[in-house]
Amino acid sequence: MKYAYFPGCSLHSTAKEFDLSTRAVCKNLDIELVEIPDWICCGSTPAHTTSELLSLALPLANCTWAENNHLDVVAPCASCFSRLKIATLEVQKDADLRKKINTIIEGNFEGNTKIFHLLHLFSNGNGSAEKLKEKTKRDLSTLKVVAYYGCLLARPKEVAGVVDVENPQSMDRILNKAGLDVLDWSHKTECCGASLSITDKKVSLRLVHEIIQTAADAGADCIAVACPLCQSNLDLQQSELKNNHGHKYHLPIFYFTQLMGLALGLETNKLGLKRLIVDPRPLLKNKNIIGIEE
Amino acid sequence: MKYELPRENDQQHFMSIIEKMSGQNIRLCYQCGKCSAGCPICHEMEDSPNQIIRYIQLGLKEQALSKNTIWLCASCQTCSTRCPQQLDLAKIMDSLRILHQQESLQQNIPFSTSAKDFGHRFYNSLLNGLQMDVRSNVNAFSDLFLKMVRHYGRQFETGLIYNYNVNSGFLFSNVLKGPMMLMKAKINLIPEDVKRREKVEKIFSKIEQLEKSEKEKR
Repeated sequence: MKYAYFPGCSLHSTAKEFDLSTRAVCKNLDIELVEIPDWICCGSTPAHTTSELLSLALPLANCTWAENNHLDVVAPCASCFSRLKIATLEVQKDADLRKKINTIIEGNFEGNTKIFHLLHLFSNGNGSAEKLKEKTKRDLSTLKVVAYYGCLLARPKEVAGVVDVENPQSMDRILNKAGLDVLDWSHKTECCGASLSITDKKVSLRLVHEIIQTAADAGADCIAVACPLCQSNLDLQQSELKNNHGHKYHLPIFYFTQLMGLALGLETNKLGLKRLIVDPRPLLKNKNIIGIEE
Repeated sequence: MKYELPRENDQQHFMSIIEKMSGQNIRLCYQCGKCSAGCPICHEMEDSPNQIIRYIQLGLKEQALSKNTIWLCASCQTCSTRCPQQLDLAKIMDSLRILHQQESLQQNIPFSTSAKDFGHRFYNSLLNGLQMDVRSNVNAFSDLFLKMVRHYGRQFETGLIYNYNVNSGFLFSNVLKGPMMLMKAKINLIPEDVKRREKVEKIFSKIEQLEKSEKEKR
């Protein structure tokens, strides 16, 4: 299996560990990722709230390379994935719009290439999930985790490709296959506030607190995410929160690929565990998942 | 609350602009309020999402555009997903923001890449103090975000946050997290070198020209 890989800006900066663990896990499961050469930013939310044309042109400038090379695109960032897929769907529906965008990007995008999020890659019945189960080397059954999808991996339905927008299952299944104790909880698809953490901190803190508190109340040791902005909001702001008893939370926020990597027995430094702000190593040592010296 | 309704033609006019921009049939909304019930940020909004839709139906442009609602919307799409009439409210919020930006004199957020220029603006910012309003914060953030992309081809977080802080007057907001993020190698001090920078600039300037000529036609 070979895919065009669109890491996106976050995976080259705040979410390097997502990039590291994605590459390590895919390599282990025989999925080949070819990074799109000289990819550019997808424009994210600032583009679609400023100009519709910009929100289509920036993603499609990247997809054109994949299409010319007959590859489907995989993006680990929820926002990049959503923008790439929405742009592709929009120009599939409207031939005039496609022409207009092709003039702007000086390309010849037809809309044939498919856009996947990383979660789809491990849950779409191509055998990766079974391979993951077979190759599992570390026992993670003592680790209680909740899967947090946030907004863009659940909504809109036709973009995210989920059966139930209120209760998506793809990450739960993957973590299950990796041998973790996946708990049910209520805040799977609640919003973390996205960039409000910069533009209106108070609102963002309230939303993050609700998510962290609910996960803790459900009995989780940690949260698994698949979006760099969700991760950084839950991880960076956690030190500012306290529970009802005045205690600080200590819930590591893993990328789901890091947990897959742990299950596959990959070395911890290949998964970027040290880069997480809430250090997950004490928890993992406590549960005898990694050694004392790691 | 008492509002003077515009004449019917004007009512239709504003609604049809938003309908054209968003591709949504806003007449379909029968004010069930499900969007607002599910909105995670409704508590902090001056008016709830369904009220904004009602303003559009009644042609109350000023009310629809002046509330903090459209700026607080995080595009989480909960409303769009749950609407029994399949209205894409998040898209309508986008359209309102875009219209607001087109109609108000677009404030040009200064943006610097040199240390000297930056120092000068830092000093000015100390004199001018804080801008607390969410609308200008969101505007500044979006504007700077896109300027960074236009200049570098990719996002450069360190540059974005520093420019944003100087502009908003929250000089040290998130700065304390900077050293920790540097230590964890989560942010870069130098922007990435993208070879297609001219191509990105071309995309931006072509769109600017296109949108300008479309606006003049209207």
